[in-house]
Amino acid sequence: MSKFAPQPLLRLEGVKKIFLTEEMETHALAGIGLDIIKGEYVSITGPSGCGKSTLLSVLGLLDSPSEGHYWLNGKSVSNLSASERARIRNREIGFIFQSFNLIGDLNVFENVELPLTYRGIGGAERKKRVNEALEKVGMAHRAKHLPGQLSGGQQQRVAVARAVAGQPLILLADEPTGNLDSTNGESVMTLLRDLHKEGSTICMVTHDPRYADYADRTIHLFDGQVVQPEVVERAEVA
Amino acid sequence: MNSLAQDFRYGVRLLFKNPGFTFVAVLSLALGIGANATIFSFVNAILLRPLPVEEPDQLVRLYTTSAGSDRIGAFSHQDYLDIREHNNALSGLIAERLKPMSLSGDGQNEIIPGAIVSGNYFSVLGVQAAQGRTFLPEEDQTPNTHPVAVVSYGLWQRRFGSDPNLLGKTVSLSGHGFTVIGIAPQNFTGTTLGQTPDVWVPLMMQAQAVPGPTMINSRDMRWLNVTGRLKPGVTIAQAQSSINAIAKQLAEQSPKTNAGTGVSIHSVSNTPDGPKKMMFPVLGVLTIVVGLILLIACANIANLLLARAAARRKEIGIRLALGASRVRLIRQLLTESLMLSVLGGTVGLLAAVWTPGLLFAALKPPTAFPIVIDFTLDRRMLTFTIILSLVTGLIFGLLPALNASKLDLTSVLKDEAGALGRATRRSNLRSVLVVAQVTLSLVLLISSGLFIRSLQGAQAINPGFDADKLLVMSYNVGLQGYDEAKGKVFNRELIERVSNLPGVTSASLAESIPLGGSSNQLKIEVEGYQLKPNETLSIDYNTVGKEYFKTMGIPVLKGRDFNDQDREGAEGSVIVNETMAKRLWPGVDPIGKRLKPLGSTKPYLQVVGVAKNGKYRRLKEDPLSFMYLALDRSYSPGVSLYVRTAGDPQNSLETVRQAVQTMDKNLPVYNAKTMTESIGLSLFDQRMAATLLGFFGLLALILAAIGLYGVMAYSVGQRRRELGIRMALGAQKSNVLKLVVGQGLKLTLIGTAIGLIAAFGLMRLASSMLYGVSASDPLTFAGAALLLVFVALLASFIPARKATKVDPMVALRFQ
Repeated sequence: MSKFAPQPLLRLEGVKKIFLTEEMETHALAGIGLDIIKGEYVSITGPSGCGKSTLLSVLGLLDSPSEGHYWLNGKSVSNLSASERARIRNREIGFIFQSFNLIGDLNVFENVELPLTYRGIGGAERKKRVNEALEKVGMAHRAKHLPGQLSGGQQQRVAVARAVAGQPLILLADEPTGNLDSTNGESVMTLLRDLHKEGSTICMVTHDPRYADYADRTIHLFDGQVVQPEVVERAEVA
Repeated sequence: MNSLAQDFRYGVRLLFKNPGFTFVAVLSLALGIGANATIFSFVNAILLRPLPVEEPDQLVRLYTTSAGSDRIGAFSHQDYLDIREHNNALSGLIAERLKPMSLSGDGQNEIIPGAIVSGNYFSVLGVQAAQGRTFLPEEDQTPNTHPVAVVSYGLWQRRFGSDPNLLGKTVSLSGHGFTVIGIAPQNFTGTTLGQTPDVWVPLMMQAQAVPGPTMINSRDMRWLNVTGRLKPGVTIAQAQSSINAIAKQLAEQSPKTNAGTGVSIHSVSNTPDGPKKMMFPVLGVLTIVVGLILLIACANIANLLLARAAARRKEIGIRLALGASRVRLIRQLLTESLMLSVLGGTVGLLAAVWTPGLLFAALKPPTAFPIVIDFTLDRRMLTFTIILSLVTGLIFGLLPALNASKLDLTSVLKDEAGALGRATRRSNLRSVLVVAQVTLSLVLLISSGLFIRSLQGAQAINPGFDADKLLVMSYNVGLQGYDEAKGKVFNRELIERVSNLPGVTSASLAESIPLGGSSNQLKIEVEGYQLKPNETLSIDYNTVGKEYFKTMGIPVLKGRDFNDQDREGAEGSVIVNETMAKRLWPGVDPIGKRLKPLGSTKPYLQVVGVAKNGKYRRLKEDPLSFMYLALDRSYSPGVSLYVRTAGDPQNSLETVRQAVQTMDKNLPVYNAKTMTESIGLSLFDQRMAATLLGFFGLLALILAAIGLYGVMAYSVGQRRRELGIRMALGAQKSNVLKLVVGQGLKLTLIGTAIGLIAAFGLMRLASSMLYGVSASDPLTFAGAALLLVFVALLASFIPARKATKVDPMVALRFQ
């Protein structure tokens, strides 16, 4: 790391992810190097199968790299135990999934409260943070509703509230508009932009160039590697 | 605590969300835990619960022993007094004898279980009267001077309507007035499990309470059951040694009655003749059986939970992604399992509060007085059920929880069908559980089959008499105040009257009922017989009337039946059985040989007949020496009437009872039943084992069928798409049917094979409890296996039929 450059919030060096099956090895990530600075809004884009989601899983500590190094907030997180990874996921990372991933049996309030519960935060503090997060995404009035009673756009807003309620270091969004119509998609992207303006660091995977443009910086992936945009374009033409 | 409460709330929500799942799980658990709690209730009431007296651990039961015999017996009054006065190991020694007594008054006559007890009975046991008082020392000093009685709480409520003024009133017991001085506490059930007296009278009142010859101060009549209380710090071995010295001294002082007589001492919680001894093996087997049932139920729920975990993969994945640790998640899943097990345990416990009493009533031990066993829920039972429920919840919940919390997060969160390897492993685990269920069920089915066949075998044993078309009923004219002369006239006239009833072919009397649970023994001396060293001739006997052998259908092989020649004044006669004849007069004609009670000054009795061997104490006993004395010469006020009928004896029961009561309307008749029913007592343990094992075997079969059905139905649900593709490619319904049933059959056959091997090994351990059937009876093994395979086929067939109805178009679109 450079002595004078700002300390990145997140740094990957030579990260590889290899899936082994009986017949072959698949290199989903083939030596990724990447820095994300605190307060940055980065989008990751690329064609299907380029490794976007695998990269996001590694960044979110849902999966660990086969090789390479990963630092989060200056601390190496490449080789942590499952329970340490769970603890960091809970405290320092907020997830927004394409398919919302709300728990159908819990109401909106309880869904947003869940990561705070796992953190062991007291009841009064949890309530305060959940209400703030729901206010922020404009869903406070639906706190008692079950996910099944909400539209897709509303469900994704709740998912965003759940991601920000724990005040994480970074928000990881995996195709957050993938299951939404364009109106709701725009609305969620506006919400993310607002969060970024308020200081949130966001890393978003998307294959839609319109939404990639919401970010400060776009990283292009192709065959598990970070490439220049032209490489992707050439491949698409070919 | 806060997060535990959240887990609990979520668990409650899941219970209501899937009522079908909750119902099946709670029902399976209720059956499994309920069966265990029910059997534990028996174990608790029969084996564990101490007698309701002060310091029950200090109580010991004493028995007489005879040299050269393994039989144990009661004490004479004199021996009891000597041991009480001279031992230094016991702080108190009581004597008692349970006897039927006739309670009359207000136009009602009934036979009740009574107890003749030594005056120190209540004080040694440390039992205070609930009302009034117990016996004073002076009330048991001199014969027939203190007609006082303590009545049981139950009798006070039932017969006297909880009369607050009963104390001081006189009640008629066996035709004599006794003043009620006290009411025993409600929980006091006497010193023998199941046999609760309704009234206690002092020993010195024996001749009035149980009319007949006085047995007080005798040394040769052994009729008293003796219980002692160890002094603090004294062990049973020390007491044994102290009392051995007294027995030796008594044998020296009174060689005629006491030579070769010893004393053995046992804790009251473990007596050699008590119901505990009889019930221990049966309860042991049943405890194992219900344990296996619970394991089957656990396998069922574990399977259901695995299926549910598969449906909850997404939810679990989200929780993990949001930072729940695996331990935290396992705790949540276990909380849900424990909620199910506690619910199942609660239902099971409620069932277990009622079922032991109902089962016991249904099994109806055919005793003269109902056996009363207290199955009330107590702290031990409650603790057992709570612990069992929690352990059960952990057993069935842990494996699915461990399994469910191990996920490939990336694929689960992206809704990918991936993680196929994991799904296959889960499915393998479910298959293993089904195989285990089938194995355990087959072991249970085989064991219940063997016990049912054993019962059939025991029922087929020839008792030595013809029990068909034979009635028996008992009465005691002594309890109505008849003297010997009046009693004999009554007996004679009754036989004449009953013999002339329509449908009756013959009738006779006898003192005891063969296989009726009690037997008489007499020490004898035989003319010209040289006793071997340490040999005593203690022979079982019955005192029987004219035409007894004809009525009972016992063949007289040599000589004759009793007849008019055997009346008082004539030369005494005796009939012996084959075993006794061979033992005493091997190779010699026993007719004309002579014997008499040991030490009797009366003339010898002459052997006039040899009867065919029979069964006397138990159906499964080895051949026993037995003799019959003539009732006309040895009067007994309490007798049983035997009636052989031409048709169904049940039809004549009421007519014969009326004939008895026409002669004396106040004479209580008891034990009225067919002889086949009466024999039932000796088969009680076999019948109980066969009934309960049959019931539990069926339960195991049902649980295994539910388990297999669950797995197959789930598998069909999971394979809808695959089945749709197969059908789209041209598979016929029969192909699909074969595929699904074949999968179920494969699991069943693996389980059956393991079950057959396991049962072959395990049932050898129970071979000593089986009668007339081998522990590896091929018919039972094959029958049980076929039944299980048939039921398993049915359980697989239902989901298989559903599979054939899959619409390929819908299935292929199905996500």
